[in-house]
Amino acid sequence: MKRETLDRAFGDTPEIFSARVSQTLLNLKEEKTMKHITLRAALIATLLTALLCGIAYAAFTQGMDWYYHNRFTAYQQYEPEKHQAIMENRQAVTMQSSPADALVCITVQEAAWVPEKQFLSIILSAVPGDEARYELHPMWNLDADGSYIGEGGDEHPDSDGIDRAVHWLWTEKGFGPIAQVMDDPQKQLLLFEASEAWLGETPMMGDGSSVDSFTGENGEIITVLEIQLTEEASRQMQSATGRLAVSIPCFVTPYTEDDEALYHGGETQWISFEITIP
Amino acid sequence: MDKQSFTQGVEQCSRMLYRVAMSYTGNPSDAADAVQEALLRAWNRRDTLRNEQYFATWLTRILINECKTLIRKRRRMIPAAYPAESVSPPPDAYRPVFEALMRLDAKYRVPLILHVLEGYSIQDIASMMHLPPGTVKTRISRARTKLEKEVLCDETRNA
Repeated sequence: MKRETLDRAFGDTPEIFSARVSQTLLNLKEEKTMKHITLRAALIATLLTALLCGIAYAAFTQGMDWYYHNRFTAYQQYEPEKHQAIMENRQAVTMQSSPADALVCITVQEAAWVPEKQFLSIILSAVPGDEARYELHPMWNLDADGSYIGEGGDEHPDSDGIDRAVHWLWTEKGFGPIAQVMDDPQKQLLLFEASEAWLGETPMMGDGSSVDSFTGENGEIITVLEIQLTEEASRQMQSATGRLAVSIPCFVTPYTEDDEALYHGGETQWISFEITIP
Repeated sequence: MDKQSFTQGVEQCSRMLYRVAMSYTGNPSDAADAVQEALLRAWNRRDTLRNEQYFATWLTRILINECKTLIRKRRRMIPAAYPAESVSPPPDAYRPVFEALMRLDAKYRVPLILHVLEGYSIQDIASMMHLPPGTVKTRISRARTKLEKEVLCDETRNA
């Protein structure tokens, strides 16, 4: 079988494929890693006065401001207008509700609605309801290299990239077997994922949306949803004034070696809140 | 590696990524899912790439792992829907080749594509797929034989 025959057998690369690749590349975030931030924070904590530490902490808790100036700085560099619009349209989210006795306590820190770009950014913070019992990590950080294959994989891989029979987790300690990289392996690992947003029954996340999830300096899971609105959600947002209710389903999964339960089990916690439409 | 060189590297091998992902998944939508995930993972783990000269090989390896993960998840969710979904149609004259290719087991199809189409050496493929070089060689040889036999059978049936 000739190379040319095989090549033509695949036909042209479909537009849907090329568009997804372009969109993914466009949305890559040239962030500074949390590792650097932790080291820097440790240095600050060691060297500076309590006052300076207080200022550093305040900067972190500003959420969106910190995020777009420290972790994801691409807008600042490449789309300064968008960056400025996000900064100018930040709003505190006060009206919010989530279940009181849930596995995870979720708070919407801030939102920024940029109508001219049909773009909504939301920043969430999540901590375990029972911190003595659970340790929370982003689901994204489980098998972050995509090398987990389950049965048939290596039971004791010594580096990443090898097909693994066991799950590995990416944490501040590095990437490795779960018990070795958790802060406290005696705790139950909980995995957190939030990657959807809804306006009533209308999905909001359109093409070009993206999610970032990472562990904050105090162990909380920070998730940033950058929502490029779907056509229907955009129509609803444009015709709305005052306040609009947004809901985010958050998937919380206790870690288990049963893959069926790991990928399709757990529970969904909804957080609902209102954003202000000028 | 900065975003510009990463983007450039991906654009240069995007057709290859499509064919490798299609070889595993059998449909453009799943292929796009796998490539998207692979690109995000590769970007997040770009500090593990020691030599940018091997960018395509490194990315292919991540993509292969991602395809396996996706197939595993898909099998659990919709056992019957794989890989019977619609594919981007090749020109009519080459359709039988594509269909015969998709009927091959992935363990034969993927090394064949990597070797014949993408030009990877037996050693490279062995490393990407975690197989002994001898096994890769045997599978490529069997894939060629099976594919030619399948195409011939199709032609005979259609005649």
